[in-house]
Amino acid sequence: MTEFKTNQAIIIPILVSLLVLSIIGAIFFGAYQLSAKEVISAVFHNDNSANCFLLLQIRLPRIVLSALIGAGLAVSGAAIQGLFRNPLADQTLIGVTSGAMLFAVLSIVLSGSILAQFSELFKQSTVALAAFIGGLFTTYLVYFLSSSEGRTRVTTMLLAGIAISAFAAAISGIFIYLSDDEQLRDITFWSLGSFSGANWIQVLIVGPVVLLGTLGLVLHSKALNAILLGEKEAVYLGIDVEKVKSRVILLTALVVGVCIAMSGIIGFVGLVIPHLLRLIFGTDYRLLLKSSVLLGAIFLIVTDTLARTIVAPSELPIGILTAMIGAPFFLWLLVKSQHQKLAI
Amino acid sequence: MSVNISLTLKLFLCFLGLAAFGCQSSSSDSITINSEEAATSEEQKVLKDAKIISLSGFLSEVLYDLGLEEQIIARDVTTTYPESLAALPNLGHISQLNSEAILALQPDVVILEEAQLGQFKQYEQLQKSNITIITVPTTHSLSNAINAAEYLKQYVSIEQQKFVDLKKQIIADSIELEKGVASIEEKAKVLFIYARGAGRLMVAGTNTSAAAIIEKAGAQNAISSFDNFKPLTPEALIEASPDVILMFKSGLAGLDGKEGLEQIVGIPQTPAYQNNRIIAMDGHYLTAFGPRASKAALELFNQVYTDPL
Repeated sequence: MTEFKTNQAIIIPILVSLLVLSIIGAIFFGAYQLSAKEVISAVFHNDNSANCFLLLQIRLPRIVLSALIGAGLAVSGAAIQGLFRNPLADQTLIGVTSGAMLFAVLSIVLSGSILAQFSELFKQSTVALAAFIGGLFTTYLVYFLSSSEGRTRVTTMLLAGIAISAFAAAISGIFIYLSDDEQLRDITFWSLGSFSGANWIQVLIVGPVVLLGTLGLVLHSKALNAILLGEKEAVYLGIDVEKVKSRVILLTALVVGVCIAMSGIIGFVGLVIPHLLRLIFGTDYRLLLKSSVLLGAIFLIVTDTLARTIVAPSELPIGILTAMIGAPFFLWLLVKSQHQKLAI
Repeated sequence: MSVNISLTLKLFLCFLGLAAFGCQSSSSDSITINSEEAATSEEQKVLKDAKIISLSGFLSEVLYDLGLEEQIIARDVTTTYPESLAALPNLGHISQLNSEAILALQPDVVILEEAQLGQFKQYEQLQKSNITIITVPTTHSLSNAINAAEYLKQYVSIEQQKFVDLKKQIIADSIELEKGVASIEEKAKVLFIYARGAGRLMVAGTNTSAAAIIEKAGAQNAISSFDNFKPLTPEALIEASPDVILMFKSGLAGLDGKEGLEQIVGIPQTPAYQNNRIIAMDGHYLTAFGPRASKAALELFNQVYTDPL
């Protein structure tokens, strides 16, 4: 108990200050060069200058969106790991990613034929909506298949999730095979994620879902701690395990669904951020979920700032960077902790 | 065991549902879509010396021919011709643009094709920052470039002489092409093969830019039974029995030339291969329907209808 409190007293303030720092850093960096003075004057004198427009309509919504999505992906990854009692789990296991991918691919490929009569401008929102629906639908499917008589078996769910993901990937494959060049490009870019079109409307859509969903998940920290001991043990501790499962899955599907819909697939965040924190202070979901929210947000703010600056005037898909930065760092931590254990 | 069977059944039913639902939802999602298209405003002020960003290889070429080269300040990844344009800052692909970088270049005008709108996520943002966005309608016709130039004229000031020269050039090529095409008695069947990397060969059906240019060149697209590009199969190849095989230069080179083509099942059985009638042309030149479209069609015509022996 005391260990938790001391950990919390150290880690949360550190992460909060890092978050603030990363936001400030992200505000100052961009392909469009702004001096510190210009940034400050644009923020405080909200005139209609170009600097002000750039900062408030382009850079800021993008930072907020990446923070929200990073937080959402990391916390839902952590919650799913708790539910499956497996640190290797992430959102992809409940089918939400592959379902979103399938529906996005369908809408990209079919937009060439069936949807051709509709305005080009709406294709983007069609893809987003399709991805969201697809994510929720497949998650529901996985949940439905692994539930009977009021009980959800986590192992069945894991297997059903794998099977459905494989099947959805196969159907996606058919459509990718049939896609033309332009569509193939769209699909590839979509599956690498991007905040390239970020605006306040997207923030308004993602914000409430991610904030409420995150809050909901964080409220389940104690239940997840109990489940860590085993489902039966959790029941003895007075936890309504079935309720927790269905809620965590629903919240995860909503959060991840809306994130993927807005930004495409951004891998690695949901798996690695919670893992990284686990390596630092162990598995205590009361702390893990909160700190995942913060570190997920920090991580995506930083990587997106890189994505939009290092190859300017074009930009890198964010999914490439999350893996390129995250993976080596994660490996380093892994190896280091292994050595420490051996030393002890 | 019975549990397994019911699970399998459940799975199967759900997959069916998934597939059906997939099709349905993506078509119904977008029913409410049309209304916004009418919002194109009728601003008619012609900009002089505007700084232009071109997001289409086709339009870049048109702009270049209209003498606006100096005014283009950045390009997209598809702008590769003429070579002097390739030296401009490259903004990448239209679906992955960096809004800030575009603003940093301070353009007056951003130009793209109407068909690209769906990928252009920055539309609203840029419009708000007083950049004129011109979306040019395009077709698979030899007058595509003239139409585009005429459309651009409403927004960007263009030297009349340049416009007339472009038009004259295109018309001259078209007339020569028409003469040739009129003399054809039996149309050759041309199959366009698009090599998209190893083992990934596609053939052009109807409604493709390749089929369109083949028809303009007085030949017949060897495939009429399907739309768009489909993966190449040996049976389809033999059924199509093309007199000529047309490819992009880059595509043929990727297959290691004609020797590589021979390895593809079905190809050696085609009249085209047996008579050594394999034509390779530059991709952008052949299918962009730009200012050189009638020239490309004429060149294709000449290659198809001259005896190689």
